[in-house]
Amino acid sequence: MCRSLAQEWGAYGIRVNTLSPGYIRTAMTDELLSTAPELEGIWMAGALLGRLGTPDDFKAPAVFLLADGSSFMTGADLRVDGGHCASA
Amino acid sequence: MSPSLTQTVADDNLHQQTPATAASNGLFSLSNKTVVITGGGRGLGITLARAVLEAGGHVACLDILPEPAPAEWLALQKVAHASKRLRLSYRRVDVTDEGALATAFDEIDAENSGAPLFGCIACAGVQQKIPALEYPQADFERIQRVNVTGAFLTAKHAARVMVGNGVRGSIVLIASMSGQIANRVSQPSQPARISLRQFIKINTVFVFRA
Repeated sequence: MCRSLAQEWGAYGIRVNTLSPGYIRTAMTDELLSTAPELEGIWMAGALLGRLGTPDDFKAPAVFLLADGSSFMTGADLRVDGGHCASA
Repeated sequence: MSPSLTQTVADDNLHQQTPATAASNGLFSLSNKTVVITGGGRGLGITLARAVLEAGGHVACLDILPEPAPAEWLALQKVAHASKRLRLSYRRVDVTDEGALATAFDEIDAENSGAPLFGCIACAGVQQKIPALEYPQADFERIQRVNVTGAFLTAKHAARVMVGNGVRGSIVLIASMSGQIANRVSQPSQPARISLRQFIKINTVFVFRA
């Protein structure tokens, strides 16, 4: 979807990018972990920095993608996952 | 004959000026800009709302919750009122209801004429952990409706307003690393988040990654 929209709306100067979080702790994932506590260990196995993400870890990436600093970025994905994909 | 790239650059330095030419600290500024955040009533969305305010932007949160999470919202109001008197609003909107979403974007556009709508963060999303072999169709479709259709409609109406105002803005879709890796938990929200990043044709023929 990101790439298709970037393709169409680039003509208007509108940029479209995705931000891809890895495993993070939020109220929603806490709920999931309380029903399936074994997940935490599984998730931690790929955490190269020794921790899961927090919502705060996505503040700067989101502001970057919105603001002028990323003016030449569109149709792209910014992966912020504490190393999970690198370790897979 | 069209000029070569090198000639164009040499002839007119203005061609090298982009919004990214500003000083680095300004490159992270959202001042005089309004950003809509779906899923902005709690969790990741409300945290990103705070980030936008801290970067100097005005924020309009949308969420399906009747009211945003009280403690976080109070903290947001403090940030908004602190020095710059940034605008902060909350609306209860279901992102799968296009009429309501369109109305919300129009209202936000109308009340932010001094700081036009510059972008959105499509953060509204749901998840549900059920083994794929047992996953009911209705539940699967609900996930797709919120996480995919809802994100598309959010992007569509943000773009509609920005194109109308001639604003060259930015749309951010919160996806997932599941676009590149199989999550270690069975959940059909995965294909939904993947399809945000992968290609969905506008007619929603989407491709699942095995």
